[in-house]
Amino acid sequence: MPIYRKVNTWLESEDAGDEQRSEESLTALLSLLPYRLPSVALASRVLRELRVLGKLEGAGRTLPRPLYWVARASLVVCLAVTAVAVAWLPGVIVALSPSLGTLALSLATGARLVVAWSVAAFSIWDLLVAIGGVASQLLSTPEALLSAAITLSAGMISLVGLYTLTMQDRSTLDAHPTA
Amino acid sequence: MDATSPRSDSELVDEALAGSQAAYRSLVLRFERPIFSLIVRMVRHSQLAEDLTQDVFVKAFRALASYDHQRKLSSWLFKIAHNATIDHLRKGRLSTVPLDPARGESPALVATIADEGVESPEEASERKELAELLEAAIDELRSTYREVLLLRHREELSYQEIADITGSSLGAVKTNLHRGRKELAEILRGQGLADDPVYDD
Repeated sequence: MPIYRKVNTWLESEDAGDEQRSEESLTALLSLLPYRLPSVALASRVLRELRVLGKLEGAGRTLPRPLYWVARASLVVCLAVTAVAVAWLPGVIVALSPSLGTLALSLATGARLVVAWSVAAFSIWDLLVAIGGVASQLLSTPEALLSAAITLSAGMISLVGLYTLTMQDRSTLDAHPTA
Repeated sequence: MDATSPRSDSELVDEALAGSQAAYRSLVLRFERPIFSLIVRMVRHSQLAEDLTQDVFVKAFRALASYDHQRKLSSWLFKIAHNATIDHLRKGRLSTVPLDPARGESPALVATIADEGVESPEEASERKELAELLEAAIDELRSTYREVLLLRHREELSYQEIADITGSSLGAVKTNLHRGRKELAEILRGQGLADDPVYDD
């Protein structure tokens, strides 16, 4: 029985400590293990999922290796810009509230709104109108408006950049998990 | 285009990157069997292995542009498969129970693609029987040994390639292979496959 003989051939070489022969005979033995077959539709399922993910035309968008570290540096820059944008917020608040009097007035207005909201049968439309009024009043100065616009723009650009880079970074990590 | 396309892996990768779905389909067809076989022998569950295999090829496509052409595509795919399998096993999302023969998952129903030339029905039967016994023995190995043994002796990869795939050192790969072989030998002896006169010439 030559096929079964392969088992003894390997075991004998293994027992004899003949490393090379043991390797060769075990390779010959395990070559008898057939490949398992996935379902015939696997390739179609892969392509369908890629289409659903919108990735089929986007393979080239995954970062090539040389740009990998450039992307990581960009990621850091985006994080820094986001941090700066957040740090700018106190400045915006100061611009919006140039005096303690205004701040107190705003707090009082806010408190009044909360009370009014609770009391006036939860009239959400009245509340939104009131909030809109206060916001437009506070943003009426050009400096405050500019600060708010810069903060919002920088924050949004940073977040979009972060999202894009993170997605590409994830794709790259799938291929280079130890990179 | 089909899996027997004579084009090289690199050519197909380039075509897939240029937007050819047919090229990527060819790559999937070319490598789905070895990848699926490794995964199913690791997780021991056909449907989950199929899902993981699908996941591997989706991830591979997403990262195709970063594939280093100097490297064997099969090794690169095996590495993604290794990571996907280990991730799922660690998360405990897969139970590693043996395949259920009642659901048609026994090795007996494993299809063979081995081309061993013309075999008599007796030889074919013996081959199938031995393959089932080997499959059962491999199944009993601990997963670390099972993986390196399959990569080394079924896929015939080098030690270095296995180290790259598993993220282990060269020494660890050799140690696991050595221990895996010892364990497999014990299992086969336990099955009565060794020193049985009926198996001798």
